[in-house]
Amino acid sequence: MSSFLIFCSITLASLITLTAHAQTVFMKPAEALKQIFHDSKEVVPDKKTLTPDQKSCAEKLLGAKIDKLDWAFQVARTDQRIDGYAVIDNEMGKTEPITFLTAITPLGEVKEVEVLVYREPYGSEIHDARYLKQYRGKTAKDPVRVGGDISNISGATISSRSVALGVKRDLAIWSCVYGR
Amino acid sequence: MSRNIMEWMVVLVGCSFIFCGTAEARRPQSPIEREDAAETRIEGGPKIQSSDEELAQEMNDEEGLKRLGNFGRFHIFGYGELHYNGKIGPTGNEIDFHRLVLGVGYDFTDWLKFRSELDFEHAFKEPELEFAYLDFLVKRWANIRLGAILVPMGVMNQHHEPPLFYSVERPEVYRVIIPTSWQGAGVGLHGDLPGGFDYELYGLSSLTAVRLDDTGAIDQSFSGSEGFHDDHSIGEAPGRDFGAAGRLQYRGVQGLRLGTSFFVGNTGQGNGAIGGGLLTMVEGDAKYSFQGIDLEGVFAFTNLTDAGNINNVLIAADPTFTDFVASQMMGWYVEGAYHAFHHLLPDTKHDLVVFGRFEDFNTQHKMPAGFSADPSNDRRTVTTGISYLPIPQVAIKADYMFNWNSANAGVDQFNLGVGFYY
Repeated sequence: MSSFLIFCSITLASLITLTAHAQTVFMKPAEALKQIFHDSKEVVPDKKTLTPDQKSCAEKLLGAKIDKLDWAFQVARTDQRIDGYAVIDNEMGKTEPITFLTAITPLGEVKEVEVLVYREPYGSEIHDARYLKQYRGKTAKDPVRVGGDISNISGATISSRSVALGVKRDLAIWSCVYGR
Repeated sequence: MSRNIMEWMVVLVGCSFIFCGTAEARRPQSPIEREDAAETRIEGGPKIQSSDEELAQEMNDEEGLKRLGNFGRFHIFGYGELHYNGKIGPTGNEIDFHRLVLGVGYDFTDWLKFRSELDFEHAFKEPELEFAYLDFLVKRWANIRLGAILVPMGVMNQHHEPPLFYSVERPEVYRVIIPTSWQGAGVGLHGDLPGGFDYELYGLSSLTAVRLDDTGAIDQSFSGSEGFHDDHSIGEAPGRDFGAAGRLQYRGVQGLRLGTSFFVGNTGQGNGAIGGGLLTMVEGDAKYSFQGIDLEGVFAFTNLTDAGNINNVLIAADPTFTDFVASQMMGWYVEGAYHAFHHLLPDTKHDLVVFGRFEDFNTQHKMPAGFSADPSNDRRTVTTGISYLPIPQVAIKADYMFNWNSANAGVDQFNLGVGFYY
């Protein structure tokens, strides 16, 4: 029992000596944009507010309701040519939001998905390239479903599903805003 | 023995803290990021017009995250399951609101979080604390957990929300060999390691082999048929014997999970007639998912010293006691599952899982000298059924359990269930 008390005091002492830190920030958004659109000249913000038509269009593609109307897209350009689009989005994991960035080609396919911030102690493997590269090439017409065309990370099922739902939503919104 | 284990834990965990601390002192860091936060600076690339602040705003967007049960720093979550168990044959059927679990969490800061779950088992008849702990998120590879912790024994002891497994009842191995949901009070570390590994390591309170009530009759105890299942919670556990538990897991390959867990601790809790009652439990598991197919295998083995003494204490309290505690238990299962809509209806969001599981477990694998095993505890179970998930958080399940045992007295069972988490 005395060793247990020693153990507890070591724990507490260590806590005091350690600087506490925030959640896992995997990548800053500006760095992610630079990496994904490395050959482009500039990335300009393009704020969109969904019209009722665009909202119902995206909800139909997604098969779920979309509460958020304001979406801050980023458009990568080289002079007049559009190289791609990106949007930062958040989706609930088991108890904490996961922040990720979805980059979309001018044809509406996923160019890249990056997990930017992960806040839960478990399941951070979803930022792994092996999981995220599965999204490349997916469009709003694909199911983008864990257990379907996306395989999950065992033991991080809920986080895997959250990212899949978020990417599907971004594709649906892109498709209804820029895709027609 | 238990004391030795604790001292070992102290040294191990203490050293890692000291290491943590010195590593910290060497390298100054931005206070808002952890060491693994990508401090990548991409050379060249496009000019980003939005400022870092504008981009950061999108990362804390509350609007897209509205979810029932989230009130800022305060979270409500949980799960529930309702079961119908139909025994084939003479014994009675039952409908049971098996579990309703209410979880409450509070984020003091983004690195200090409280999480708890209260389990109202069998329609409020057996309220029980599932867990209640503080998480100090320090480093990605070293976070501190303190409080009533779910023992990291296998996967399902910690992750048992009903839609995450396919059968109505949890696998038998996770009931009688690993006493899910098993928790202990203690402290330890968890985190991610390089190369796709993660780990948990705790020093925590142990199980209690025999618990007598005020009149000296048996209240709860280990048994030959149910293993440690009757004593898996802290309740008012004597705080004398502590144990150590740990788990190492590998998820470095897409679709694959490999894990191994251990527990070591005395269970005598100071009862001189028992002696130590040292329990050692080891577990190994593997799961692979591909093309809509999940394959899983779990193996668990326990060794208990002084099992003969435990039986003698139980007989002294109740001369009719015959459900003798074994010195070794063993169990394993293999499970195959197919997500039927993966190929049939690739566009749907619904999920229909067809599964089969074979379990072989013996809660009296080896008996202490002077006590004989009851062959009906050497059991084999085939469970086959379906789980339909209209959305990922809700599962409607039906399965049939073919039960055999070495006494040829297995009773088959038909189960219906609905489970959810939120």
